[in-house]
Amino acid sequence: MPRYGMVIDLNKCNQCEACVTACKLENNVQIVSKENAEMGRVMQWMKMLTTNHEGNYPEIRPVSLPVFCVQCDDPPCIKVCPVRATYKRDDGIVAQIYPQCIGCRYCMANCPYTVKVFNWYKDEQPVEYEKCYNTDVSVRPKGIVEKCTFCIHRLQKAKEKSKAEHRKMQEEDYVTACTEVCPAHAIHFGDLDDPNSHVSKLMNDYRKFTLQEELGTEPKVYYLSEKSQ
Amino acid sequence: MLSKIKSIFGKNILIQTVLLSFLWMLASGMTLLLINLVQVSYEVNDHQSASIAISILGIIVFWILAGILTYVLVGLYKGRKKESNK
Amino acid sequence: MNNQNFVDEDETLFRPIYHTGKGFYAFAAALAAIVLFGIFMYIRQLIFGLGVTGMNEPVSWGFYIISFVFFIGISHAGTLISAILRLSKAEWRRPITRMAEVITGIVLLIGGLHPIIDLGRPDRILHIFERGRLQSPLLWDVTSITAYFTASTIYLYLPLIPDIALLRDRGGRFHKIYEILSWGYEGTEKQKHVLERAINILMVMVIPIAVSVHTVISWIFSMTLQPGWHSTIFGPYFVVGAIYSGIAALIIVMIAFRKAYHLQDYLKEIHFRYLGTLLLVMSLLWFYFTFAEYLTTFYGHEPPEMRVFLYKFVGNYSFFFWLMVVCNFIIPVVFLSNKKLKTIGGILFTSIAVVLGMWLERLIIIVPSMANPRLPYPTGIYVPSLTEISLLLAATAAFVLGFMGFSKLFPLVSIWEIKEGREQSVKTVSERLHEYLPSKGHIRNEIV
Repeated sequence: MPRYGMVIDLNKCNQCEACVTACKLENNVQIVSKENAEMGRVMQWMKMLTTNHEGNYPEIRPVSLPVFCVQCDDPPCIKVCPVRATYKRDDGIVAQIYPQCIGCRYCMANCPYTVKVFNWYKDEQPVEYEKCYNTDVSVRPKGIVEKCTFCIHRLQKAKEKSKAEHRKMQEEDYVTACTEVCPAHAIHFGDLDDPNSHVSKLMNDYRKFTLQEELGTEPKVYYLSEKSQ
Repeated sequence: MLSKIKSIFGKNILIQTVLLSFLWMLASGMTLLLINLVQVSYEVNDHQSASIAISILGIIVFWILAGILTYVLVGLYKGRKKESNK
Repeated sequence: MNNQNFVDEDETLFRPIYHTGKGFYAFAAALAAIVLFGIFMYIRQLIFGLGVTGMNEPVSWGFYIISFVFFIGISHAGTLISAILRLSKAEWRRPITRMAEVITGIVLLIGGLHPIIDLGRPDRILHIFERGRLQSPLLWDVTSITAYFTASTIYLYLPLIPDIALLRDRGGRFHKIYEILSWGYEGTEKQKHVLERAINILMVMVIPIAVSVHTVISWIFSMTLQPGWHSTIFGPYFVVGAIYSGIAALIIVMIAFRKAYHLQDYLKEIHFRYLGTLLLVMSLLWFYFTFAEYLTTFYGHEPPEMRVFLYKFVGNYSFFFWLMVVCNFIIPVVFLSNKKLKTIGGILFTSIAVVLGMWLERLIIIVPSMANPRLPYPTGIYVPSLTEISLLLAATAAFVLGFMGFSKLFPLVSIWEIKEGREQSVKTVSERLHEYLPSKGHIRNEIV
């Protein structure tokens, strides 16, 4: 069974946030109103988190890294969900079942990376945004939790396509939106268990680290960085 | 026949039995619910031991409570003074 | 049947059931208005979504969960007073047990509703029963609260049966209901024996169920990985806090109804003094647990924990934190250890401070840990909205209303236990004393 993971090269990342935008468009993530944004309810499955600042005044630069669901192998969120609306698939992706979620937000309380997002309101989306909804992805109603799913709809499409073409699924068939769009090619996605995939090869890089690995959540998103974050 | 039962047990026996049966329904309901949840946990292979442990505890507590109340209410009936028209 | 012909020794205890003043109706109407407003705000929340509250990311739990823990905590009043005092055969519990048990029943209903109010999709609540996961602390919560509610309702009902029988014999408005509910109780020896036995079994059973309820609620927090929550002390800490807030709420309710129904003969100063001592003991226990918790955190000095710690001690929440310490520790110790200040007025003031302080404690536990996530996100801000405040007020109003409703149907002080105390306790207690004390030497018979 494949085990999907991601490696992000922070030395290439220029913090342009193209990945953040692509994720939002790909997954029909709601655009919230100005009042809600000011209250702290911006819905971003992928966030650019500023961990540090470098340089001396006045040339100060923030040091950020993209943070999103790190698809733990031992996810704390699935342990506490009372209705099994979030669960771990055999291929390692931690998925959300939107019709099952009752909106208790316990998984949000338990995620140590704070990457789960809640639909507080059902805001009116701008007409232009509604016109370019991704038809492969459902639009979530209010009152449920959502998060990054490694663009699992693309996995389903890739599987169906390769089945229709009577061939095995290749690495290039399934890439997430953020991987596809990154202009610096900093994001790499693939099967961590496949020794030939290029994410597995990147796993040998000495710069590798994960977020909060001392918690034992076994995240599958690795970062590469020369400097300490 | 109803009036005969009423005259033996007292005129409110029907309503009182219905009220007591609520507790039995609660206990059975909780039992069925918890067993259902154990079954679901087996289906999805999700920590069956925890499900079973909590279910057993829950089921025992509810049946003991139902038992206590039944014991009291039956005991109260039996302990009445012998009156023919009460 | 004309009930004015009965003049019982304990007529004061029967009076609220038969006489209702205008003040009662006015007050009840005001409370009902608050409850209705709360329901209206909740319907608004159902239509517009949880966005009408002040919750956001990262603070995704707010007033509703705070009130949930708070109300379930107050429910421990019933267990402590009723079960433990009965178990320890303390005679001064007699006028108090009924009110304590009623508090438990009403408050469990109100508290149990709050998680449903907090849900984003309450229309999907049946998912918990169809496809729930018993591995989740929320489900343990559902089971234990239901068990506790059932047990405490039965535990309220069983000692109520002899009083219902007394009411049935007097006739009056609800004669039919009393007849049905009294189950033919006539005070025969056999019936008394059955009732006593069942109450004895239940009072032992109810204590572990009650302890489990608040422990399980604390485990909702301590089973997570959040800084400030993932602590082993939470189980006992919450139980102690619950009993503490329960006694305080009980005192407030007792003083209020003592004034309203002229129960000064039954709820004497000595009862409040004893309860005040209990409150002081619980205050010291609470302080011990709190001190242990924060000292351990501070000494370990882990960065995510310290972020939460400093937020509570010197940061944005320092006002609430130190107010909580004043309300929960300083005021009780000052007022309750000083004979001059330990009057009924002083005890009432202390109890109100404790109730406020314990609500603040729940706020302090829940919001700072959520506002200071492990990763270096900016600190969250939580401002409660009108919806949440009005639902808190509505819940409190519903509690008082429920209590007032109960007092119109059943006596608030356990009449048969008072009569039993008057007639038999002196003999029972002196017999017990004879058992404890050495048989040589002269035990004074003036007690008998």
